[in-house]
Amino acid sequence: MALFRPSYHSETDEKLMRLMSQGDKRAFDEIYKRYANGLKGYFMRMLWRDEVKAEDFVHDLFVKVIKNPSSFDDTRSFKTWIYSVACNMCKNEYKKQEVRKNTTTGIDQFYSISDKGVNVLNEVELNHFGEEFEKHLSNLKQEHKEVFSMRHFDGLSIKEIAEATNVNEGTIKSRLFYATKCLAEKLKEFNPVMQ
Amino acid sequence: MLEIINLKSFSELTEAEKNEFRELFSSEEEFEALKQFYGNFEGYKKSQNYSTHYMTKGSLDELFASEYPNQGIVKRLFPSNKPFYMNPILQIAAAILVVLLVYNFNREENEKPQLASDTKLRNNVKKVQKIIQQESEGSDTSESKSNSTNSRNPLKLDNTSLLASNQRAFASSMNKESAMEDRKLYKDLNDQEHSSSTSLISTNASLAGVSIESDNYFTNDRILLKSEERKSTRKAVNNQLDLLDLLTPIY
Repeated sequence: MALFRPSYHSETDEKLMRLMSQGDKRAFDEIYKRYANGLKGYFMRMLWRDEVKAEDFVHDLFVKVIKNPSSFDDTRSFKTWIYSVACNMCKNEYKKQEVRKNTTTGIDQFYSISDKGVNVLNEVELNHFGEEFEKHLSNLKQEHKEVFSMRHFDGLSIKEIAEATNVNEGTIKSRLFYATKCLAEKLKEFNPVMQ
Repeated sequence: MLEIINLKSFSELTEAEKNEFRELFSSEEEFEALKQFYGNFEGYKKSQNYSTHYMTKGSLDELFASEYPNQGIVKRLFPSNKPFYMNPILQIAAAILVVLLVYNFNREENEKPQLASDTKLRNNVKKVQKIIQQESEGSDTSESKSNSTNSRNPLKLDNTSLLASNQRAFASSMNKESAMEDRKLYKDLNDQEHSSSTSLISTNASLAGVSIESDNYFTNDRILLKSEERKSTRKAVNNQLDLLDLLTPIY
């Protein structure tokens, strides 16, 4: 059957979106294949490593893509657009959490990891780089975390991040440097030369 | 940035590069820390494999199906996202054309006479034609003979034809008469039986103890017997006529 069907692997995201808006299911499948896992990782990092929440956010994001494909301007990059939508979803979630925090106990359960008063014994045991990295990444400010995640995990360029977040490139660059420096400093215990 | 940090040492960095990454590191120590961090980070990144749950995709598929219901036949036959030679309608038309061409080609082949292989058949046909011709000639001669005999004595021919017509007329009149007689007899018998049975029923129904059905059965039997007799007489008449036919002299 592949002989009679055009291959979508080599198509651009923008063309796939155009086909999808015409009702092409295979185009949608290809877009999902390209971005679903990456976006889940992005949401995981941005939303306190809550996998269920990340899954829901991926679902909601693709619901938006299906229901309103015309909201995508095909003169722009699809990758930038989808990450800007994801970024806005995270910002809204932060706002929601802020409201909840103020109206309930006032204790932010998600930020409890960053508490310096955590068990010392646990901190000694946590010598695994990944766990430490995740902990420090989640302690970063949302804008720093966002830029770092987009740049190093999702492979967006400085320009693309600037477009997705609607912030100028200089600011993105400085945010990225700040986040990187901060993480490198916090994780210098994993540097054998420094120890 | 990553390439520069990973591949170069601090001493290898140019002034322009140092200026560019001024915010990131200002000393060799910071540069090395950054290098180490990126090394560890790359290892960690590779281990990060997220995959979405199949149910998420399933519900999205359902949503997609509801948002974009099955397209009409026209859209299916003329899809916009396929080159023209991949259009299903074109493919179907091409298939039909091929089938028609093959069929017509075969038909023409079958209709052509195969002269080279028909020598035996042609010989047989000639033989048959010869036989038919001979037979037709023979019949012509016999007809001419009979015609010649008739032409010799036209009065005799008139007599034979008259005799034959008389025989036919006689037979038909006999048949008609016998049929009329049959019908009359049947009617009379019916009337008689009906009157007798009704009288019997009215007078001795209770005493006789015989059902009307059985009475009718007897009458029917009698009628059948009578009609059998008629048939046999008709047969006898016909036989006589046949004998007459046989006995009539042929002139």
